[in-house]
Order: sequence, then structure tokens, then C-alpha cells
Amino acid sequence: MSTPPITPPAVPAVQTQALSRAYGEMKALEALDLVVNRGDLFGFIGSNGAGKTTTLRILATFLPPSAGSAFVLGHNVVSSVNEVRRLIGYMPDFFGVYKEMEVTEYLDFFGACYRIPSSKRDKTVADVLELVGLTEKRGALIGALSRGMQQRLGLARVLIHDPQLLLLDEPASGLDPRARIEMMAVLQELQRMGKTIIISSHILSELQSLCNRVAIIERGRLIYAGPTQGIRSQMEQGFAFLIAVSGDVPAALEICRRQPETLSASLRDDGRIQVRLSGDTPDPSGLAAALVGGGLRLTGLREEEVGLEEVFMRVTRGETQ
Amino acid sequence: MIALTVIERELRVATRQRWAWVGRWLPAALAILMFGGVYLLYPARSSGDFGKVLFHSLGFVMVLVAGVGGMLSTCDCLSREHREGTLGLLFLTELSALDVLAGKILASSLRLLLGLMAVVPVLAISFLAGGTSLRSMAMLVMAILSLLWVSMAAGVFASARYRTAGQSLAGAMLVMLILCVGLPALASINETSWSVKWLTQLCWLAWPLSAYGILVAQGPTPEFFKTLGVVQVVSWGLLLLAGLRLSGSWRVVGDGSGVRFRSFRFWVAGPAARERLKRRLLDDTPYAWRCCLPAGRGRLVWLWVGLSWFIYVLGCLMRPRWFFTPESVLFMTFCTHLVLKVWVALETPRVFISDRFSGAMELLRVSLLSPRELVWGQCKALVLLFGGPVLTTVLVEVALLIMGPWGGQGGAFTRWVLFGCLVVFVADIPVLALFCLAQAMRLRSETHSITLGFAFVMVLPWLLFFGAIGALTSLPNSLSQHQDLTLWVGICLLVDFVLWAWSRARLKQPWGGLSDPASGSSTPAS
Ligand SMILES: Nc1ncnc2c1ncn2[C@@H]1O[C@H](COP(=O)(O)OP(=O)(O)O)[C@@H](O)[C@H]1O
Ligand SMILES: [Mg+2]
Repeated sequence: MSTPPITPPAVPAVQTQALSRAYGEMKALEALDLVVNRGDLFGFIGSNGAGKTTTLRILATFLPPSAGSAFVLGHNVVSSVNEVRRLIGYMPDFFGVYKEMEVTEYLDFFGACYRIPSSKRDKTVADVLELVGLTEKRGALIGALSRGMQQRLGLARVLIHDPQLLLLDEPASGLDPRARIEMMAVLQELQRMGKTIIISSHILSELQSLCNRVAIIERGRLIYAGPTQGIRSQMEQGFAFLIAVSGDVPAALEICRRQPETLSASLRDDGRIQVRLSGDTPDPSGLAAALVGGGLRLTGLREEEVGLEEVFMRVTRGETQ
Repeated sequence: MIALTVIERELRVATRQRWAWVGRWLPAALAILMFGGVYLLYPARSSGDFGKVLFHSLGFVMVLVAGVGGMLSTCDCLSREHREGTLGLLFLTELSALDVLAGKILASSLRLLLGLMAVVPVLAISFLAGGTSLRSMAMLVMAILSLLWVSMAAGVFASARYRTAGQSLAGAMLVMLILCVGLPALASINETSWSVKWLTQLCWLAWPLSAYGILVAQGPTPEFFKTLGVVQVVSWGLLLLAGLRLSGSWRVVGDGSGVRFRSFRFWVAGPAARERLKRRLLDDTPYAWRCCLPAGRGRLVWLWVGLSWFIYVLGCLMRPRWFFTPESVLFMTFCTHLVLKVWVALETPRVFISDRFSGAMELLRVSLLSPRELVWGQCKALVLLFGGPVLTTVLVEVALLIMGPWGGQGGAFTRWVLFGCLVVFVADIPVLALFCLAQAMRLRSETHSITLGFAFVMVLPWLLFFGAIGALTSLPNSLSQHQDLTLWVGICLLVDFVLWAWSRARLKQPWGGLSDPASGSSTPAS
């Protein structure tokens, strides 16, 4: 019946071109250019009010863009609404569940909304419940489910018409660590089944192990898009090293500052010196030699571990609303 | 006083509502219009007469506004917080049930009071014209304030009791109906059958309208102040009940509701038929199935209509002298029509608005259902709910038209009245549904949609009718009964037609109201 339209493999799952959206004067999204390849588990990251929900709503055909265009598997979200709706599953950042329905009734109802004939619906409902691990809750009232279960039910609803692209708006918010891990496991399973998944979050670390690609937006502007590993090297200016010396620390700081490859050097609260070096593969051996040459005893030298979290904070500092 | 925080919040919200400004100028405008009307209709009389007529007619309108408006302004105040889950939040602060109640009432009454106060200057004209004394003007204001207070207490009581806007509106109407109609009825029954003296007296004293009645009939008497006191007691009783209910109930937000909805399992025709119906609906118009939830209300409509016609027919068979008369046929017709219309209006906007608030509408809008199918689904659900009972009513009344008790004196005309009522009923029901639906897409509030439905479909024709009668009576040849009836039916049909056309156009428009992203509950507060 409703076989999804066939799309040539070269077409990316999502492509936006100068996508913009304004609410009155407020520009929620400004000239966003984004490409999500098929099969990606794509993290879409930004602080509150950055424009994640706006972008996903546009992709879900719920909200028209004010300028620019967006394509889902080659279909324009404005002009080919029905094709796009068949291809996507959209889970908003609130439940939108009918608390008074039973789990199966709820899925049955949305299956019918996607025009799955009743002969196939029972099987589909059983399948998606199995996939998200809610089979034993099939007769329960939705209002009586825990938050994690409701979230998984939302995921089951999204999967009911077997979409190729999933748009999940903050699916892990408000979940406890266990429920979060279970949710992530389901998502990885879905990726293995060949679905493209876009998942938004305001927590970078939540996605860094899960997603293969991420985009970071801030105030409606894209500030990074690419592989998860690439964020740090792109965002960080230079590499930082931590140096510990015994004896005359101010003198050591002075020596560090004088080195030609040093970008900056500062004394930290714990008495260690943080030095930033320029270059793609910086080499601290010159610095060490200079310190030793200056008559100081070097007791520690190592590269500073900067978590993605800190990178993210640095990148978006002062720009949150 | 902590209640002030609640009031402040309420007023801030209120000023953001679209209707806030209407509330301020509308009463004054109406009063001025009435002033003009009275002035034109009584040109030749003395100025004292003019003042008296103005005083009474304005008083009447203020009584109406206070009695209905008080109830409307408060009937959704607590149930809304309940639905949105914010009531618990209020209680987690330092506020007590009393603070919340006081805040809610004062905030709602401030709006209405401003509106009523806007009328006072026009009322003062009647004093200047010599139609009344300063004393009776003050007493009129007291009577109206007392009525307003009772009416608001009824609204608060109902809204503490129920969760949905429709239910609590119906509840408030029921309380007011009991007070305004039930008490006099009880008094007269008592007078004829039991004659307990104090009961009669109490009934009349507690009657919310008696202060106004006494004022109009006798002027200031000691009874006037007594009735004010008793009415106060009644209002405080209602508020006390609301407070008790409130302080006990806010904790259980979220549970309990599920239990009731399970009644869908016990569909009147049994589980198998229910399953078949569900499948058929889901395959055909899925949204209609959702709109039929929670089921059981369909049975309730049947129960009501079936039972009342059954009793009536039984009565006709057993005591034809009482029941098989033109008057009782008309009375039955009137009651059935009114209840069915009110019920349709209450039911229509419920699902749309609750789906918009829960965010389910956003999910539906990105599914393959078109807006048209959503509207059609809701209409179909209404047909499933009300089709049978409405059809039964029409059939019974057609039967009565054909072989009713139309032989006696005046019978022939009553038959025409019944015919007119039937025509208007058949036209009103679909228009009412369509109009309320269109309002539900436009507005955020269930109460507003329902109220507008009532006002335009059921009240406006009467106003136009009386206006037309008023204008026509100044002609030399006044109208006959039949002409009056024709005029009324004509006006009703005309209004229906206009509203129908408007609603159709509105429902066809791109779904401004529904696709508005701000209607989702997720939008961050700006
Ligand atoms: N319906 C709306 N009306 C006005 N402004 C809105 C609306 N929805 C979102 N915004 C604004 O657009 C910006 C982006 O919002 P959103 O996309 O929801 O952010 P995110 O999901 O990243 O937290 C915010 O500043 C928000 O206030
Ligand atoms: Mg968001």
C-alpha cells in the first residue's frame, strides 16, 4: 500500500540550504546549511533556545521555513509534504500521549493515522512494541507508565510506519541514567537496521559516544558540523600542557612565556602551569629543555585533557539566552 | 496577604487575553444602547417615567450579566489549573486553599466589576431623570453584587469539583439552575402539598434573584436585607465546599482519571461489537475514534433522551389529562431541545482543544491525516454520539405533530409553535456543532468556544426577535400571533444560515490556529 518512495542512494537523508525561520522579529534560525548522510546517527546540539526544535519542526513539515529550503531524502518539505511525512518519524520534546488510552490502542490509532490497513496493524504494533521492549506493557494505560516507558512508547509510535528518517527532539531529557542507556541501545539497534536518526540534545557528552556525526548550533547559526572526534581539534586553538615544577614557580612561568611556540601561559590554582602551544602537532620537548636549562626541576608534564563539555562551553560561552 | 500574588498573576494573564478589552467597553456600550432604545421607545412620556423604565431595564440587564457572567468567569479557574497540573505547584508554595480561592475569585470579579461599574454612569441618568431615589440605586447595586457573588461561588464550586472546562461549566449551570429555578419550584411544591411555613420562607430568602425582585416589586423592605444575608450564607457554603474539595484533591493529579476512561471497555453492545466499531472507525476516519473517547457518554445521551420521552409517553398513557395537553408537549419539547443543544455545544470543542494542549495535535498534523479529515472525524464522532437521540426526538415530535392533543382551544396555534421549534431545532444542532468547532480552532479556551456557541446560536436570535418586535409594535397594525412565530423562525434560520456559512469558510482556511507552534505545550516561555 504505502510503500515509501524510492530514492537514489546518492541523495543525502537531509539537506538544508540557507534555512531560516523567524518568529516576528526574533530570528530563531539563520541560514542553516546542514547535510545529514543516510545511515548516520546524527547529533544535533545546542543550548536551550538555540533553534533545535525549530529545525526539527521544519523538517517534520510542521512549521514552514521563512526562507531557504530543506529536503528530506530529496523531497522538499514544503512542496512534497505527504512524501516527506511518509519518510519521517517525528518525536517532539513533549510526550503528546493520550493518557487515557491503552498502549496498543494508542499505537493502533497512530498506525491508522498513517493509513496502515487493519490487517497489518496488529502485527506492526506487536513488532514495534517488541523493538522498544514494551511488550509486557501492551495492555497498560499510558498514564500509568513511567517516564522512561512513555518515552519508549513515543519511540514506538515514531516507528509505526517504518520511516527511514527519525527526528527525535531531546528524547533523553528527564530520563534516569538507566532509562537513558536503554534508549541509546534502542537507537543503536535502529541505526544498525539502516535508519537515519537525528537526535537533538543540549548535552554534548550524552551524544559523543553515540553519534558518528554532530552539528552544534547556537542562536540559530551553525558553528560546527562534522565527525564527533573532529570537534575538539577544530574548536581548540592550540594544545594545552600542564607543567609542574618544584622551586621557583614565577621564574618557570617567565621561562614558559618566553618560548617562541607558546601562545599563552598561566598559573593555575593548584600551582601547576598551563601552557598553550601553537602548531598542529606541538612538541613540548623544547619547553622542557628550556625549563631544565633554567635550573628548575621538572616534576610533571602532560597534555591537558579537555572534555567535549568544556569545548562546548567555550564555544557557546555567553551566547546562551 | 499572600492571595495578592495569585491575583497579580491572574490579572497579568487576563490582560494578555484577547477578551480583556471587550469586557471593559461592552457593558457600557450595551447600557448606552439601551439608553438610546428606551429614549426612542418612550418619547412622549414624562422624564420620571423615562427614568423608571431605564432604571428597571438596566437593572434587568445587570442582573443577567452578573448572574451569567459571574459563573462564566470563574467556572474554569480551578479546573484549568487542575488540567494543566499547575494547581499542585500553587499549593507547594506558601499558599493555602483559602489564598488560592480568594485570589481566583478576586481576580475574576475585578474584571466583571469593572464592566458592571461602567454601567453605573448610565444608571445615574435614570436618577437624574427622577425615575428613582439614590437609596434604591444603592440597593440595586447591592442586589447585583450579591447575585454576582453567588454566581461566582457556583462557578468556583463547579471548577473545584470537575477537571474539564465543559464539565465544570455544566456543573456551574446546574448549581445556578437549582438555585434560581429549583428553589422557587420547591417553595411552590411545599406550599401546595406540605405547607411547612419556614421552608417556603427560606426558599424565597435563599433565592439569588429575590433581592432584585423585592426591589422591583416593593422597594426597600426589611426582607431585602434578610435575603442578602441568606444569599451570602449560601455563597459562603459553596465556597467552603470548594475549599474542602480543593485542599483534598490537588494531590491526586494524574491518577483516578485513568480508571474512569476504562469504561470504554463496557460499550453497551459488548466487547466484540466495540472492537468491530473501533476497527471500522480506525480504517475509515481514525480521528473519529479518538473523538468518541472516553466512550459511555453516548449512552448517557441515550439514557437522558430515552428516559425523558419514555416517562412522557408513559404519562400520556396513564394520565392523559395531565400529560397529553398542548402545554406539556411544548414543555417537553423545550426541555429536550435545550438539553440537547447545550450538550452538543459542550461536547464539540472538547477534543480539539484538549489535543492542542496535550500536544497530540502536533503529532497528528505531521501524520498523513489532512486537516479536513480531522474536522470530519470530529463531526462523525458527534453524529455517532448525538445522531440517534436527536433523530428519536425529531421522530417523536413529528408523531406528536400528527396526532397530538391539538383539538382544544388554542391547540392549533400551539401545533404551529411546535412545528416552528422543530424546524429551528433541526437547523440549530448542526450549525451549533459546526460553529463551536470553528471557534475551537480559533480560540484557546473551551469555555469561550462554548459560550460563543450559546451566545450566537441560542441567544442572538432572541435578541434580534425582541428588537424586531419592539420596533414593529410602534407600527399602527401590530403583529398577529402567527406573524410573530414566523418572524421568530425566520430570524433563527437566518442567523443559522449566516453562522453556517461563516463556520464553513473558517474551517476551510489554512489551519492557522492548529499549526500555530505556540499551541504545543513545549514552547519555552518568552
Ligand atoms: N512559537 C514561537 N513563537 C515565538 N518564538 C519562538 C516560538 N518557538 C520558539 N521560539 C523562539 O525561537 C528560539 C528557538 O527555539 P527552539 O527551536 O525551541 O530552541 P531549542 O529547541 O533549541 O531549545 C527561542 O529563542 C524561542 O524563544
Ligand atoms: Mg527544544
